[in-house]
Amino acid sequence: MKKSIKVALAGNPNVGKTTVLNKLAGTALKVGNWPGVTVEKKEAFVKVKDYTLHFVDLPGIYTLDPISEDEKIAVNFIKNEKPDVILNIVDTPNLERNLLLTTELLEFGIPLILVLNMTDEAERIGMDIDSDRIEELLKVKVVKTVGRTGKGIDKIIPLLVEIYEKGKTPNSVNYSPAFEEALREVSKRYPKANKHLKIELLSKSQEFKSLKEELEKKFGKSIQEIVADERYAFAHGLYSEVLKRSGSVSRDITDTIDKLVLHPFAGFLVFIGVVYLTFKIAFDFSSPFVDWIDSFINDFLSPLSYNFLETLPLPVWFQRFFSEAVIGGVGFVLTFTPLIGSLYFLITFLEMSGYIPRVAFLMDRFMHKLGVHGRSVIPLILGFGCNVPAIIATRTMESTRDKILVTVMIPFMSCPARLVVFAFFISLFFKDNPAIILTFLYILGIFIALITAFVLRKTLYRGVLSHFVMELPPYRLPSIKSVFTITWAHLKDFLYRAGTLIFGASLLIWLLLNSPPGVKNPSESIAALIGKSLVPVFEPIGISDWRATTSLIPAFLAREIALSSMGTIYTATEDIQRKEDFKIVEASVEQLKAFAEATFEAVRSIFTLKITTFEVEEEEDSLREILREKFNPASALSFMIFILLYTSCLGTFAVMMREIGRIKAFLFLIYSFFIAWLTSFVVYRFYLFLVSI
Amino acid sequence: MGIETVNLGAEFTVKFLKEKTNPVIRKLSAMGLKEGSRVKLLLKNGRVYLLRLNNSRLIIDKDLAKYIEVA
Repeated sequence: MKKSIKVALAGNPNVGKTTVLNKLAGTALKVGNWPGVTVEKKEAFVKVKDYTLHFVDLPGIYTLDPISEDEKIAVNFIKNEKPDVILNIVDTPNLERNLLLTTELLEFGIPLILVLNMTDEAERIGMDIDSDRIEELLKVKVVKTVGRTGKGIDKIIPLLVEIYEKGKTPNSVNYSPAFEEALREVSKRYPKANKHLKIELLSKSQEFKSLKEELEKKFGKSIQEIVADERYAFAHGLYSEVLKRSGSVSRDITDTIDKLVLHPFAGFLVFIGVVYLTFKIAFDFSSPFVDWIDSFINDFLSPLSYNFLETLPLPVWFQRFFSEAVIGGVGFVLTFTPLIGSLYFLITFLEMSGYIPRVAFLMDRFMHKLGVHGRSVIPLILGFGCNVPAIIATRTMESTRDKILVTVMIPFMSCPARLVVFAFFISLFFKDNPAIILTFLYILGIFIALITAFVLRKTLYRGVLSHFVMELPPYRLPSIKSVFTITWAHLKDFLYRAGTLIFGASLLIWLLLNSPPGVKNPSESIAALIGKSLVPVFEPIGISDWRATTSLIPAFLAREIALSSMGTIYTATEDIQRKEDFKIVEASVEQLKAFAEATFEAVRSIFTLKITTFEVEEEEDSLREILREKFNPASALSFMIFILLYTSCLGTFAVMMREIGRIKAFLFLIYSFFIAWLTSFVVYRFYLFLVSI
Repeated sequence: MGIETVNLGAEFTVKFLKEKTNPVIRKLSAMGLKEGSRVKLLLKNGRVYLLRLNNSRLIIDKDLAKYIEVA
């Protein structure tokens, strides 16, 4: 029978724990250079010999004295879940600081492997560590690694098995004689307690109050100070003992780049430039591929499927279901996969390169006016990738007040799901000014977020701002393989949703459009009945077609469903022509050529400065034609604003309930509906007014 | 004296930390900023400082900096 070895990966933030785990287990985990990316307990299972290694990646911590929620997760795991082995990963250039946590971990008496990571950076500054001496002094195993390249990581798994089989207990801090004597007293009553627990009992339990007071009197300081001072002294002594060559303080390019990137004025220009380039590259690079997938689905996959289905003895309704719900609904949303992939790739790259944490420093002055730290900008930026992990990332906030203020801002950050809807409507109605409309929508979202935080700060959450302390990692060129791995993890999630949630919603909409059974005209269906009953609510904001209001109902699951539902509804209600005369060989050659052209166009687009994505030639498909008749620029803008501001995303709502509580999440949902409707109304009416004069 | 008196680019030594039992101060120490540390003030921006400490860089706000006496 296979035995399980539970391995906890513990270490300071930014030491490369997740990267090491990625190399060890080949799993796609979220990695980053700012503290607290790994806010959830991430796991991986690896089978070796007769064992299953169960790796648990813990959030970065500096000490076992937690403040924020993510730090508490890590500390509670080590204390309560009792791992079999601790894989303590340290950043070698900052070894002395890292050894404080090592010192604390040793007190649990759990077999430990010390991974000296980033040894390449240590070598660059001339630093050399005697790993044999560490093994000898601490009775632990030591491995030197370079997480980015994977050097040395292959040695970890055999060592894990070895150390587990031998059950080697490491050495721990030897406190001063008086303190050790006090710990022996604790041992008499708790003989099985490890050193960490004994110290906790001595410091906090009423049972040992007199013993504690005696020590405090003898040392002339609090027990916390006694313990901290001795641990620091141990870590310092150990560091001095194992350091062969100390090396110089790194004079890398980080300081030089920071002079520009963190400059109060130039830094803002760089920030704007980075944001512009991110979106420009994401849009322009993906656009040719979006067009290609669209043509692949409509001109190749769809006729190919029809031809195939016609050869089978299938009922007509199934063919209709396939064309209306699968191709019209799911297929339509899938065309935007390249756009989502490109955006995730770039955000992950910025995150791993160390740029995103810098924005916290740059934006602090501005964010402080809203009553939060510059650090709050990080979850907000992540919100442009996906609101769900961004809300989870607020766990790194040290006060509940800050966490709530940031959490209610995140849903207004426009994620790629919204971009799918925007890209479609902009290409239909705002071809002359695509960049202006898109920028307006992003800024509007940010503006509403700022107003929301400002009002809350002046009313319900007036409290004092907590202290702001954060480590800035050096700039690092991320391994492209890691960036791709993470991007793929996000894309997998999107494709999974397309296959489940979006497909389910398309199916439901299709069924409602064809209910009650035997209904001839979809405008007499149940879907139409529901949609028409909602028209009075949305008519004032310019959405008066029942098909559009109906599409908003399933869109609560995920915003892009608004578009897939429209695809299903409009495909079912209008007579959309099929392509006849399909020849598979010619069509395949045509698709291959189109793909080559798309690749060439995508690469070429990167080398221009202007955003060219939406400047497309008159492109027509049936759905676009129909929507152009049913909407006008004013109602299209109003629809986009509604999609932007209303929290129509089940994932975001669910995570908000978990993070800030059910009542607050519901209140926020109502607020987001209200503010979305009001803003759409104002913009719609103002647009009509401008057009009329 | 406090960090506010230090010139940009200058190095200083942490002389004393007030309220050592305060969890945020304990975290600061664990991050390497403790009595006797040599620190360089890299940048100031509004109410935050960027400090260089051996091979790491820390951002701290001015309110927190008030707990640090320097020499």
